[in-house]
Amino acid sequence: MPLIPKPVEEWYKEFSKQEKIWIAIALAVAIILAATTLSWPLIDPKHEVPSSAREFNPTAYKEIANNFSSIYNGKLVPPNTDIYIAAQQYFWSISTLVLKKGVDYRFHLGSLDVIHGFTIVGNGTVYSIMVMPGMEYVFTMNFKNAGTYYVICSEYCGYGHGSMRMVIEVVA
Amino acid sequence: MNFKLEDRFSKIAIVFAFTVLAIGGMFGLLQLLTRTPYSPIQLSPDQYYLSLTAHGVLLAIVWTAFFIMGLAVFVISRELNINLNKYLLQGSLILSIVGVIMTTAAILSGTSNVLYTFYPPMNASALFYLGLTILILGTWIFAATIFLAFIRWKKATKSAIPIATFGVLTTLIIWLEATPGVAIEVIKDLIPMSLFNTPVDVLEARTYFWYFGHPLVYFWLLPAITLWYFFIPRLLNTKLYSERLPKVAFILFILFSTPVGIHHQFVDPGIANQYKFLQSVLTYLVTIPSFLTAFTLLATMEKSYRERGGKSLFGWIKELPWRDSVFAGIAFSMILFAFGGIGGIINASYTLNALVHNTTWIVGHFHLTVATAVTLTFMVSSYVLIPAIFNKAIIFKKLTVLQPYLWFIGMTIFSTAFHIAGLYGMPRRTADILYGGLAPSIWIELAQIAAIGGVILWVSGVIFIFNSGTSILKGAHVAMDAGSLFEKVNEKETILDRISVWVILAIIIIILAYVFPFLQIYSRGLSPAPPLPP
Repeated sequence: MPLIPKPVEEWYKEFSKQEKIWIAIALAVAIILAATTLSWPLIDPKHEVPSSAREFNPTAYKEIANNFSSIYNGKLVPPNTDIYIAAQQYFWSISTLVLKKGVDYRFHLGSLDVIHGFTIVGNGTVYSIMVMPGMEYVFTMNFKNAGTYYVICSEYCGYGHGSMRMVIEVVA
Repeated sequence: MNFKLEDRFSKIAIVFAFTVLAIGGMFGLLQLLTRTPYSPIQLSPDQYYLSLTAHGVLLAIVWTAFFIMGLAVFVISRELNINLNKYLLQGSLILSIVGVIMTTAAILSGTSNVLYTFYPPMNASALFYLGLTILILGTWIFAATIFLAFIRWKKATKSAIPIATFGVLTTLIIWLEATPGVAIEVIKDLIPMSLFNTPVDVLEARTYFWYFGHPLVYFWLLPAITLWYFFIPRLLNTKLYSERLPKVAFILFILFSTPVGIHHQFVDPGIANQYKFLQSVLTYLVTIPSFLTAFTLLATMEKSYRERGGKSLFGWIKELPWRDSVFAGIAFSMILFAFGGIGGIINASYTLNALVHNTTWIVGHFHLTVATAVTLTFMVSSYVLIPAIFNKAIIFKKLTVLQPYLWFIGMTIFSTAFHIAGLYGMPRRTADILYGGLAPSIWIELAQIAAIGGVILWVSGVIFIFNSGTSILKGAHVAMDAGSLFEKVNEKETILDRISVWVILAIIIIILAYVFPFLQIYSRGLSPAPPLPP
């Protein structure tokens, strides 16, 4: 049996005019969606999806994150300082992060056990990314508004998942 | 021809599906009430996550799969007028049921509260994963049974594939495209993790899971679309506007429903942006068959009105049989599916995903697709399938009309509240949304509104289970020739009916979309994490 029947029947000629118009509209919608999606991060790279991952050693990372927390918990993190946060059942390695408004901060996120979700909520902002064991997620964030933001764990990480939270204070 | 064996399969599968729906729906209500601050019913966190696991596994996988199997056997045997292999059919049903019982036992015992996405390294009991494996094996044997019978029919007749059969075959092809992903994850990673504490690379496992997890959506959806194509022209006493465009739509689903799973991983580290973007674009291509489906169905509705001499531009909407339970249910399914589709475009749109990722927006979204477009369609279709397969009349006819209206109202309330709450950042999968008092008050208000919707949904579900259950048990006997529901077509086949061509093309697209992400994952070097209980 040949794969493609011969002679190939011109089945597509049976489409009505309305159907052809509709196919064109559907195709156009898909193309417009793809184009706008691509153009958004091209116009402003700040909108690019974070993907960068680094090698990760849980023991070493835990120490770095704890170090960071012992220095900066509740104190303003100066610009050009990398932020290290470790997630663990059921807390973040730092409880209050103080940042300056309008400054690019480089965040490092890693999990010491299971998958967690890093969701920032507050002042009209909602932003979520995944925190995974075995990988250090690196991305840049810039808070445009001063105020109090909350970080809650948004991926189920165990029975105490609902209590896993921290605060980000953004000062002018 | 005698369809005793096939009908017995469908009866067992559908009754099993209804039972699972009743149990899973109960859990859903308990979860909503728990998430509503100050409600009288509050599950403890371990009970809540047990309930959430049961709700997801039982409804998203078991209820849909069993109803679809029952429907598939009915459609294939009657529309093609063929019998299926007895031993394969029985074997697949027994394996599937054994698998479900094992997994359900593991969940109810409280040792597998890992939710229906069971992301490692969170560990469940081995029974949970073994049950899932056996269920998948059962469904593969089931698919083989259907395809063997279909190939026999195809060789004998060489005619075009009728539309309902086309829909069923497409559904099974997508299932076969998708399930190897989860099978690899479970057999290679999760069973060893559960039995021997073997560490698991999380990104690798997640990528295999979502390779399966998104096409699963189309596995649910295509039987519902098939039922729309089947019922709408029959209810309106006309023919489909065209049988070619639906086939094109089904083929586009075969091609593009699988290589899109990474749109669930836009905010995962370790997958390069260009691969994420490619799968975002491929997801937009899956909107095209949905657009085509909407056209054919709406055009069929308008056509029947014009055939009856209707002149007004939008008069056909008013003239539709809104008091018919099957029509109303399907129309509501289509309306809510349109919103589900628009929400889906937002979820899949690469950068915008970070706004809605892991919030209740996502839960609101998929309750429009799987819990309405699919579930409500299956429910109202049962009002025809019960007389056709069980030969029993529906006892409470008026309740069948009330039920889809209640579902539509309940789901609109629930889903709208969850969509809005998601935009305010309310997380999904959390037993207690108060977060020790830092929750904004709008979360609490929206959770309360969602719970009202949930109670209405639950009432609709209870009416459905009560009505179909009593009808199957005590309904008056009806002698219905189910074969007469299908018309005999004897068209010549075209390229559209050469399913193997489309499957080969689909495999090529899947390889192109997934080979690079997997190369990246494996070349980076795996970093397995040791398992932990929840």
